[in-house]
Amino acid sequence: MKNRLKVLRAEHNLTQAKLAELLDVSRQTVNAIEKGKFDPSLPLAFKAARLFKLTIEDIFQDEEA
Amino acid sequence: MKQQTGLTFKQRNKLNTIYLAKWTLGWVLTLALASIGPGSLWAETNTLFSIVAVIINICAGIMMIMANKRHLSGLDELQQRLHLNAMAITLGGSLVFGLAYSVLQTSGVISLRQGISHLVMFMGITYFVCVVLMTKQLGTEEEE
Repeated sequence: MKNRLKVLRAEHNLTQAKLAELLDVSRQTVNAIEKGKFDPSLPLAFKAARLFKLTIEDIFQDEEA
Repeated sequence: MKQQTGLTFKQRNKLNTIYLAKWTLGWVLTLALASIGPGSLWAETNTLFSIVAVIINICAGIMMIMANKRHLSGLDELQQRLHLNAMAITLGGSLVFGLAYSVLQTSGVISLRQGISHLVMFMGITYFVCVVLMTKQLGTEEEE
């Protein structure tokens, strides 16, 4: 699954640590999601979408679609 | 964005880790008391003291298990997955290698007798190595 988390984070001038705090996860998890090494759960994806005021599809894209 | 408790993820995680460390220390100390006590602190014939020491140790152990459960529940989804994988490998490894060793010992191939402490050491080292390797594999230690 591809995602635009790193781009969105940069657009909002957020560090990984700050984004992690806002999403209530560890910085390592934000890092792993950005690098595409870990796919977040639906609740976490919704949390990220709410935070950036976007839909889940705007942030996460299925590579096979 | 904070949880209902008013603590951030980091703060909550730190508190849970301290809580777990305290109960682990408590369990280790009460285990030492139950092991060393008979003969050192009270007479070996005094079974009542020995039973009480073991009961205290079991109670501390239950609290340690609860603290560990709380610690794991407080981790985020990536960390939980990592620990779940580490636990699966540790449990499987202990079962497979423990029984294989037992079979080799029974059949006389290996004469060296191993105790429960060796199994505990094996489990601890396996768990630790798994967590370290999987953390590295995910590249979660890299800086942003």
